[in-house]
Amino acid sequence: MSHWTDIKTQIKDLAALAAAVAELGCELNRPNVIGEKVMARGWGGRGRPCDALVRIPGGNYDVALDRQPDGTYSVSADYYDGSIEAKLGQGCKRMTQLYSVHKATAAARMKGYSVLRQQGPNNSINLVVSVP
Amino acid sequence: MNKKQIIVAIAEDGSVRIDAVGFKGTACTRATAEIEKALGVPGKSSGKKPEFYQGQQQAQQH
Repeated sequence: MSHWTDIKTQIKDLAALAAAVAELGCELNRPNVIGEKVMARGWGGRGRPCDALVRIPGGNYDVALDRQPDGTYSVSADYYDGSIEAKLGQGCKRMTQLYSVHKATAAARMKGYSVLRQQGPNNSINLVVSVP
Repeated sequence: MNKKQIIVAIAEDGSVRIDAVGFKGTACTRATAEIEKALGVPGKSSGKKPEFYQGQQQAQQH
């Protein structure tokens, strides 16, 4: 054993996010043209433009993603009717968890490491990365 | 020979702990750097276990 580090996940990779939300039965929508926006639905039929959105099947509200100057994406949503929380977790934590799974797996595989995914205690997910 | 592994533990709330196991010296830092950078920013704690310093002590002896 040599070192450990705690990381606060930042969403930076929409491809990894698309894989994560697909695993939860949802869809990531992005503009067809770079620089354009998509409209995220909110309460009372109000929509707002954003850089990408997560659509919940059968839901009335979307999760909006806004690109920040540092390249990360902020996440916001109208949690009013509970549909987003039911699929993505409170505060979208399940989405964030699976994003970390997909992003870390991709990063490890890019280096030629093999990755084994395991269910951990208390709804955690462990990735066991073998380094040659 | 110890197996070199990186354990990425992702909690239900999305927080992540990356644990490098079976490495000596600074090889662990190089191995985990890309995964750490891909995920985000280091949180409030990170620590080096005894084996991290093993490589450095051996280097000083030469």
